[in-house]
Amino acid sequence: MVREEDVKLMSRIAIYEKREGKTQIPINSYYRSDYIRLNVLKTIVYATIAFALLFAIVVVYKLDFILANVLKLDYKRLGIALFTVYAVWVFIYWVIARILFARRYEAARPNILIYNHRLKKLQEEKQKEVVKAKGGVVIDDDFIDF
Amino acid sequence: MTTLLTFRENIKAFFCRYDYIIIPVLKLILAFVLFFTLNSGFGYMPLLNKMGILFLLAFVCAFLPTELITIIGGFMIILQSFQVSLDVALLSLAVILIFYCGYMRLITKTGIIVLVVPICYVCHLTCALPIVLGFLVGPSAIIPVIFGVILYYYQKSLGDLVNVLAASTEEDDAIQGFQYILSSMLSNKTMLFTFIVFASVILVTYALYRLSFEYSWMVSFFVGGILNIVLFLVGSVVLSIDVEIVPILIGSLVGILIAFIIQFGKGIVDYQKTELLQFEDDEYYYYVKAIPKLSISESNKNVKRINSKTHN
Repeated sequence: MVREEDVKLMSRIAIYEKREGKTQIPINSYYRSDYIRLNVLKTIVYATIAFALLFAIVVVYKLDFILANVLKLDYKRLGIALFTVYAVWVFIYWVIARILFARRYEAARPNILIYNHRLKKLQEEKQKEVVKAKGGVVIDDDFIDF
Repeated sequence: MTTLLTFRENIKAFFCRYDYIIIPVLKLILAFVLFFTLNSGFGYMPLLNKMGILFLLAFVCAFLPTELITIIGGFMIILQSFQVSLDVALLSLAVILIFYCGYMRLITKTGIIVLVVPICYVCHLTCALPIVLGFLVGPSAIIPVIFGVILYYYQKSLGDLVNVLAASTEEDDAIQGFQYILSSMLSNKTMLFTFIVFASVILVTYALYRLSFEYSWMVSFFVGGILNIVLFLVGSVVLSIDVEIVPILIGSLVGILIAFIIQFGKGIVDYQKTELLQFEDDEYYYYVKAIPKLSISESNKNVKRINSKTHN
């Protein structure tokens, strides 16, 4: 028998899983700090790749100059300058990623709570049906409906 | 006003009802226009200039996430560059990877703005873009807009390079495409100045739009438009760069107009019914300003019944 309430619940669960759930449900398996740290780390890796590519473009562009002055260049000063620029680059990404992923986690949490609540409610409805089918009596509790 | 509001509600209802058709069709049109503009801007690979192939790709994109349109566009740029020379293709691959690693991995949805910029250049409506993006997307639109401007000037530089390569003889020193493109782009003051103008307009429009004074949204559009025009004029005088004033004026006006239309779709607020509330709890005082959105009541909606059956 088709139960309207169950169909409504299942539809809402499916809609969430199809849309925001795709990105938000995996977030549920992390603690807030773990999620932010992991994504910040990934962002730093990607930022490093982007920096390396930019550096490679600059080196190839200035290759003639570098080859002409290969013995005259002050490598210590260049190394310090490069490291400073890299540190600033990574720091900017670190700040942006921390803010961004903290916001994403906070935005996902209420939706995941509602999703879990609906799943739990659906499971309870199914259990009630089983009890009824066996001739038992079901006592309704005060479930808050979102 | 009521007619406009009714029209808006009807459009919204229509979109809600047929979204399963409208969204893929809009994505198909967007992808086709993007791919067509991109490939006509380059035009070095005959295969990618065929309308059938582009339509087929756009058709596939209609059922895929929007981010994939950007990625396919990126592949097209690399393929087109490869037709010119290998070093140019490697340069474009490196720039696309920088954009992907540095921006699109964090904010995927707005990456498509990069491909929209060349369309705006073709329509002479580039100046409309920062006003619209300023309030619609915010500061996160600055990076893709900058990369979009780079893409447009990269197309132009590549065209110049092809002409130079065609004119050069074998006795000439081998021209390095990579060096040529980077030199011509880095010495392009107009491009560098456009970065500053667009970033400023986006930031100012966004900041004003978010302020809480009355009609802040309207002020933000106008200030964004005026700032666009003023900054380009100042730039043309101070940096002595070639700026065509008519497209800037038209672009800014169109930008303001588009921003108005989008804002109307999002919901215009009714300042006459503003409620100023004040209350407190143990820790805070709350000063709340609640402004209702303009809407029409159910009774103002006209229900037209159209029967398919006709009586003889």
